[in-house]
Amino acid sequence: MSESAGMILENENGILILSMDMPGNNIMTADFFREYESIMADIEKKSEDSSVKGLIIKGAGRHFSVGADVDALSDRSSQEKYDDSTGVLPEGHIKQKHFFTFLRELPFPVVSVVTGFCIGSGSEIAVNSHYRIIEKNARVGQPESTFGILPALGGAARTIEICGIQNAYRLVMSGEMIPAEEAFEIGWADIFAGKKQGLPEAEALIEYISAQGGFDPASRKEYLSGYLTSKGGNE
Amino acid sequence: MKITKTDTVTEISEISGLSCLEGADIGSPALLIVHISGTVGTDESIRDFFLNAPFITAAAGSPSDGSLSGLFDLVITEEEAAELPEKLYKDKSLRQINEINDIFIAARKGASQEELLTMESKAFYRLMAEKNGGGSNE
Repeated sequence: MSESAGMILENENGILILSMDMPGNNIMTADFFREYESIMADIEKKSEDSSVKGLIIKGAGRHFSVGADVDALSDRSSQEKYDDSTGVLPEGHIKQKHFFTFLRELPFPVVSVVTGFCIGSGSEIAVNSHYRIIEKNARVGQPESTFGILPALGGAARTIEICGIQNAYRLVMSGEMIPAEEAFEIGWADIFAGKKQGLPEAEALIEYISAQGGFDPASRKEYLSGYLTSKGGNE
Repeated sequence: MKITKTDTVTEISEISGLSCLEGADIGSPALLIVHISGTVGTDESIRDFFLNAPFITAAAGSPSDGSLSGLFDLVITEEEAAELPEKLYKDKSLRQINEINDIFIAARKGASQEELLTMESKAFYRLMAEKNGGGSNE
């Protein structure tokens, strides 16, 4: 039986590094979401500290996350109240979604380092980040549609924003998994990195942005472009 | 103009101009595929048709006028046109396809990220209710 250390948050020279080490390659069970929401609440508090330069999110092991446990998700949602005539969403969903989408509103850059499988709700953590660095051999996808539903933690909205309608439609509607090279080609990932190069690349990107004198989310593409130019382009 | 319809896809070929689409019997597909080869006439009024289309639009083939591509949601090759509907819609209900389509159509019309985030959440609960037995989640 493998041991899991849970959600590990460290501060290295002003960069918060969240290593997700939950059971089953970070399969998103009720336990995962409880731990995730708790650590994200902690990060939200830490965001008031102006010495924080950025946040890196990664899987502690080989995989970023294999996504949600669909049976558990189905069970949970059947117990939640949603009346389409009022359009008022369940409080649990609003809270859960906040801890995905708020990443975009943090006052420092949030970078997901994507390794191995990055699937479903796991992929939604990544698309809600400001930047995605994908390592060779990773595979990403939003397979919710193959289970009769759709991604609802930002997976549809953010993927449209990141990849454009054409690429997002294929990903969300087909539910297909795509390799790292294709994810980079269609714009899902901002940087393609070699094996084990994702974390140092994320740290370098955050240090570059920090050296620019502050982070404005509206200028995230410009920071990326400046960073890539400073290092001589992507590999 | 030749029109072929299934439950989810309408395919149009042999057209001389995109304005023909405005009065055509397209039906209510999830996806409209327009096969284009060579020069196809267009005019400003057709932009509204594509902007407000209640389905996803795809140009198949190789439009010689690059600006035509910008009208469509998807631009695909003829080979892809034969495979794409199966790849996209296999084992999905019309209800599910339409729920997902609505988000992309709203994005095409300029909906904000906040609006799209809310749309996906509501669609999720409607589809989950269907998955859990057809009733609402109430």
